[in-house]
Amino acid sequence: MKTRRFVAMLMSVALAAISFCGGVSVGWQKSVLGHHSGQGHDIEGFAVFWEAWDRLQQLFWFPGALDCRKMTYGAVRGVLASLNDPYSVFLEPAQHRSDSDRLQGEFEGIGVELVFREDIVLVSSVYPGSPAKEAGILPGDSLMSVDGTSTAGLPVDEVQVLIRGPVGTPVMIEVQRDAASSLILTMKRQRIEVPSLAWRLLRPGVGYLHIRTFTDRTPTEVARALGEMNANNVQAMVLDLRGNAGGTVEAAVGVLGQLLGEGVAYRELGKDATETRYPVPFNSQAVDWPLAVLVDAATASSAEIVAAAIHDHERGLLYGQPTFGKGSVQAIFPLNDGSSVHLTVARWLSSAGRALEDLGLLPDVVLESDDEQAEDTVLQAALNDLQRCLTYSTTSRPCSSLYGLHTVRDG
Amino acid sequence: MSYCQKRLFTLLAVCILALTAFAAGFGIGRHVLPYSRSPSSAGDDEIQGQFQIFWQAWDLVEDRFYTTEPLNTQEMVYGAVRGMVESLGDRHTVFLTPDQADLFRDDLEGEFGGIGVTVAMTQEGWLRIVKPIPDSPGERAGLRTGDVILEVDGTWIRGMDLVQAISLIRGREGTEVRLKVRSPDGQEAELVVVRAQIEVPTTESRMLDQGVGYLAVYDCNSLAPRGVRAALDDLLRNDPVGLVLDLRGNPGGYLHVAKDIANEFIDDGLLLIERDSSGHETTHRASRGGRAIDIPLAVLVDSASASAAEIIAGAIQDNARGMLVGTTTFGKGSVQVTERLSDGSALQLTIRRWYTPADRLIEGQGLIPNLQVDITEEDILAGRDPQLERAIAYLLAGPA
Repeated sequence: MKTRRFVAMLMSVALAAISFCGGVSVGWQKSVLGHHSGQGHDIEGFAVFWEAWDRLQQLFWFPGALDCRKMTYGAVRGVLASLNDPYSVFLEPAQHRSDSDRLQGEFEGIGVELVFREDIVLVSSVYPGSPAKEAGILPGDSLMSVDGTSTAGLPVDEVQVLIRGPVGTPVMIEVQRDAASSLILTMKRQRIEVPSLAWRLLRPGVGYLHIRTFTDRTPTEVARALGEMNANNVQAMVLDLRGNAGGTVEAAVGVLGQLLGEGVAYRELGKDATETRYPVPFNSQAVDWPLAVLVDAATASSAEIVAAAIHDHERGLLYGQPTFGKGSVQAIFPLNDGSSVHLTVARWLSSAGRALEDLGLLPDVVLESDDEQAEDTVLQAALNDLQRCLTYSTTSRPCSSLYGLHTVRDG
Repeated sequence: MSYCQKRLFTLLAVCILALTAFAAGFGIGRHVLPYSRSPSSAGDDEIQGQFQIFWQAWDLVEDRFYTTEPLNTQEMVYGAVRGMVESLGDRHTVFLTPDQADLFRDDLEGEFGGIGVTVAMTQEGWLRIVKPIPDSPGERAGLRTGDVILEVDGTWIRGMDLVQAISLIRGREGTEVRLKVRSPDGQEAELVVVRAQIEVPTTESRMLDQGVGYLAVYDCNSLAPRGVRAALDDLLRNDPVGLVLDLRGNPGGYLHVAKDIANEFIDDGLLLIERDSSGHETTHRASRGGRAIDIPLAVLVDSASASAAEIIAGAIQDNARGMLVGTTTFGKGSVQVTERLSDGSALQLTIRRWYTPADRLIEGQGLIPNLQVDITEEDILAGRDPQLERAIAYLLAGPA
């Protein structure tokens, strides 16, 4: 009986010891891998990150406490930099907000554009009809404070965050026009729309549409412009995409719907080598005019998608300089705290399957545009071709056919 | 209590014991053991909360980033450390990969196993021989200035950074390294070089015509104090009228080396004051028994004299031990330590500021020489050294 008791006790102690060791092990793992690496991340070699973090907290020469938020942002930025992809970037909350405003083509504010020059935030332009215009802010004014907060040392996007806010709320802006005096102006915020395009009639029957960037509002703006052109009996159009660095791909596809009406807009080559074709939204009302597309080295991304699709569908020729050649697609992922990650998620190919990365689109008519010259030689060449095409087209050889365009050019 | 009840009771007790033991273990495991591997600083949960977005971003990269090659987790971790360190905005606080850390240590030690040639990266990504050290294994094997190294032990150099390439060439004394080399006339050859212990020349000394002793210190690495002492013994045997200490181009090195060298010239004065960010102060005094504490002294400095070299120059200037001659120095008034991390990488970080004996902070300002003398491009081409000439003239005129 005594032996049994002893054995039972021994077993209990052993059980306790095993339980204890198990607890230590589970606790340690939970701590190192779960708790400290976050959400069950078990990344080989990540320990050096926390080692470095701790050394900095303990030893770094710095007056006051280190800013953990800034360090975290730095770490995210560093991970993205390690990918060696210039388009995969981190945007802090203020940058993310101004970026999404830019892509939406509208924001809630007072309607000023700002630049940072020699440590001062300057008003570079004031939108017509905006609260800023009505309050009397002029381009060239120095923006000194917003609601009493000094702009000294603030980057432009953070000043923008101060200025922007819900429609109808008041904002107090201090501007300095000359060294002597400063003005304090109060205005109410409004919804400000940033036009992404402008159109005009070049000649009777020939329209000119200049799309500066593709925002969420661009398809609506294009619809309005095309409607107005129709009303003006436009039969051919110059589409100027020079300097257009892109924007949202959805907007580009929306615009293609109105110009092509059907077909493939572009193709995406995904991570696992799968190819996805994105259709042009079907539109029986799409214009059938011959198009001349102006491009240059700054024509990139969504603008290249539009130019390539028009070319691939044989709806127009390209004039100008080889395009930028941005063949990758970025998705914008907002993070919990208002910051965001722009990440390359796919390559894209033109609707006919051409790769654009690095090479860009080679125009049919390569022309140097000379800034020195008053005349826009690229626009002139496109206009002449369209004009000739309109003049000589017949029912059997319609102007809208690209080959027709070629024949006329060669003749 | 019946037998069954008793059994049940015992079982329950054992279970409770086991659970308690597990809980105790869990607590210890979670909070005590991993202390050094987790952010040990205060506000642990706050940091973790803040850090959530890092893991969001990390997951996005793993799940969604388009790349034709597998992700390099190691590079991503190093990228995270590098980005975190850069966010502090101090250019002297940097992260070093294991290769970089080794190279950095070798350079501070002043000696390492290698082939003894200085190299630079060409635009095309090859390694060009800038200068072979005389009588080094590299020179003896036939490496000449202008030769280009294409492969090291069968590995292409192209695409590597300078540090990676140098790390491949260096290695233990006595081992062999196979190099594929292209000479300027286009000839390619394979060379086998046996690595030796390479000592980078740190000091240079000679007697000048006018009876002035000249001592140049190129670097404040571990070898420098020994070199300085040997050179001083040599020079002083010639009974010079004065000494020129040339610290031009000296980028610094170890703080203790700067103290050792300053000790040879200053007898029992203050050398420097260190302060950490909480204001805690450490003063460093010269010990007695330096070799050159009385002899007239001129110190040559320029804009590339930095850090430890500025400690020496600042101590000599503030103790009125000699004249500084030349141009304003670099102005690095901070002290770094190199902390090795568990995988061989390292963090070089600023831990303190240092002040001259007269309590001057030189960060961003530099030391202004007592005698400001420029040296021009034409001077260098014509082999003239107006700064040295001015120092000699001062020493020959005798201290005022």
